[in-house]
Amino acid sequence: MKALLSIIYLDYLKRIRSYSFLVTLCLSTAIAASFIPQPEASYSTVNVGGYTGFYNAAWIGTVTALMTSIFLSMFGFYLINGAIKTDRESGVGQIIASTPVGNFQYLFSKVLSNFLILFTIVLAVFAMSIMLFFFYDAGYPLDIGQFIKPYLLITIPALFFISVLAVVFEVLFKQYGVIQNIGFFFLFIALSSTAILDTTIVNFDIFNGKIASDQIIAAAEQAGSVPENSGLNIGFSLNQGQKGKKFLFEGTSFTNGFIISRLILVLISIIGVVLITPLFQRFRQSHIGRKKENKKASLETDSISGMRLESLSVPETDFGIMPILKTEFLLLVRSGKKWLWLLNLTGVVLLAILPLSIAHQFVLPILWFLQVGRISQLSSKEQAHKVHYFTWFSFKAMYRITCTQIIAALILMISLAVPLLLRYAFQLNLAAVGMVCLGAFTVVTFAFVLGILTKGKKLFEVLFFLVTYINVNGMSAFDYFGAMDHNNVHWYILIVMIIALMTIGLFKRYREIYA
Amino acid sequence: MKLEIQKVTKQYSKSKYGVKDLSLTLENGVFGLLGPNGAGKSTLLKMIATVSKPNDGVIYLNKNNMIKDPNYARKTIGFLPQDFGVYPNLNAFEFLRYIAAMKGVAGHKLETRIAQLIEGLNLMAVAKQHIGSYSGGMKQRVGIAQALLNDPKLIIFDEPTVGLDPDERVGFRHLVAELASEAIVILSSHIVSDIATISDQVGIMKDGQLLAKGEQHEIVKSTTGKVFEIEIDKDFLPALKESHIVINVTHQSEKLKVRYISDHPLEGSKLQEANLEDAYLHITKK
Repeated sequence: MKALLSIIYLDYLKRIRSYSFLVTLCLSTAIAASFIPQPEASYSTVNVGGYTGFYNAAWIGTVTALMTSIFLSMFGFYLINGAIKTDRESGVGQIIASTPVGNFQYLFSKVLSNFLILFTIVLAVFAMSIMLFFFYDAGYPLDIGQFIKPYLLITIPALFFISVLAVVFEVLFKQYGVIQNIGFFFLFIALSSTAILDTTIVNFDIFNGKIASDQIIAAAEQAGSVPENSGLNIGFSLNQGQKGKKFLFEGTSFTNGFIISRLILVLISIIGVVLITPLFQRFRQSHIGRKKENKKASLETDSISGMRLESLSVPETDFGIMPILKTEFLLLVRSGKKWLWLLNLTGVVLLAILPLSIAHQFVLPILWFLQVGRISQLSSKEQAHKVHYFTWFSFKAMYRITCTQIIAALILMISLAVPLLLRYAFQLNLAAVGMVCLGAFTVVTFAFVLGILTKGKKLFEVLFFLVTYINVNGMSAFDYFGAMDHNNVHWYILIVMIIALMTIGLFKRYREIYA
Repeated sequence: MKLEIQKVTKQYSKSKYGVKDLSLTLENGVFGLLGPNGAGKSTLLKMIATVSKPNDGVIYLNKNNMIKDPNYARKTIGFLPQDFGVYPNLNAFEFLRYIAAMKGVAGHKLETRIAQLIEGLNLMAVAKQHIGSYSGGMKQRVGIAQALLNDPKLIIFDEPTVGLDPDERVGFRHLVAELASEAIVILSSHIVSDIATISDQVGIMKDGQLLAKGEQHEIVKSTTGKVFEIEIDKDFLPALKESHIVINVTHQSEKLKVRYISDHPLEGSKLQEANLEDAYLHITKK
């Protein structure tokens, strides 16, 4: 038991000491501050027919817990998955495999360290929610129980489930990170749009906390003036939080049935770990696979033969970027499994045949998101593969690497959008063509800059997932590819953001190469 | 080719130096760099390879300041870092073409040169396979090939023999000997025998400083007359280690045969011929 706790603690320590975790923690806390809008804000996060609750402990506690449950479940998966892969790639897995630690113990330790990562973020958000309570000071007493209960019963079990899901995906799909990322995207949409089991006794809506939602609606209806059949709107909605349209929400009464259902969720999650344990190969399979290949590769390659240096051809000098661009593009294309190109092809066909609005708003962002595994290491792959000694310190590396990486990724993203671009071009809708191209450039900029800033791929993957999910759900504020109507200010903000981000990224890269 | 390193210092913190006030001049030939872990060998090699900049001092290559204008040197440097990687989903041809492009090497002769390097380093049979499937030794050979792509005149090998088996090491030594006729070859290694067989000149580093530099026989001369061998009881070994530099211990039934360095040998000791390993231990453990 002591050994298990040590593994969990040290794994947790290793992961929170990364720069990307620090960035994510700060970002989460900043986002948490927006969960409870200022009284004069023109948006709301949770409302019933435009009505929001007075800012008492029950409202702030429940709203932040609900929002955390949804948002952290969404991007938390991308933050925590890859724990087993890291052990495999660093070689630590081989060491662990030779210790007495059992497979279930190991997998469960990964679940718990995943959970601790998410729990750390929950703690930061929880602290922020209490600070917001004091900041807005609506004259209600601080009832700490109203803060803790929704977090404990709604958020924590959902995040435990996500922690298990990350490990299950890793065991089932092993090193196929792309499948994990895309698979979760669709699974999350499916799970969050339907409650698995919803009866009067128990319900298994994993992320939303339906019990709290129902009681918020009831409280709003009781206060009167709320239009009939007004559902609960969760998520950032513009012009929904209208000043003065308030009702009193006194907290969620959690039934025994609900509590039991959450305990069952945790239990089912643990059973899930037990069930996948026999499938965990304890770092053997990939090792054996590599050895087989090595054996094949070792044939007739015993030694360095007598090479006559004077007979070597002396090549010409050429500092053009085309050969580098070709390889950068090749690296993007080859990243991920070959069959994923079938999905890409399907997406491209759908872009050509579906109604223009659907193709633009739904197919394009999902098709681009399918490339997340390819472009997330756009600017950090040199360090990840330790190739930067060869590339960064070559002739005029800054200009040549930066140009080729950005152009290669742009070619990939724009190539995938060609059917859509052609359809708009035939309609002479050049503004739409420009916006799709701007969208491609936005994604590439974020991938490039976040890779440089965090020296990894996690933050980009998390943000790309969030933005894609939000766009598919039709929230126009995050539309970066022109699928919805906007005034010019929206595009100016986007362009300024791209320029600012690119400047920061290039400056950091310049410092890395030349400092 | 002439490389001049003048009073170079690399400081990591107020009290921690990677390299301290180091000066060195090298011309064509092989310069072997020895030193314990943390001595500053890799730090020095990275500065010569223009990968990192010194806090103080200057490095000239043919009178050109490599710190102010690294691009001049980068055209003519071949560098094999100690801890390098490869893109696992490229094959050897593709990877070498990529590195060649980064080095600004092109033209119709490039393909021939890549093929010659692959052939010469015995990688042809696997050259079309992804490098991810290669063994450690094969990857090391790909690393050696990339260092030679641009017909370099300043070649820096940091721990090049790591991962190579004895046959490969022999092949590598022959290669270095050939390279040295037209280039400056600097190589660091923990394996003293590699340095001893290849190097024309040897440098010994410790704590960021160059403790000794010269031809092998000059370095060894400082230890000549100080290497001894003695047979002792097992119980006496700890005391011997306390007062002398013990190089080697061999078990012989009830006794131990110990090779050691000392200015004041024990009674019954036999004088031995000193070699580079003895000199290295003598200098670094003083």
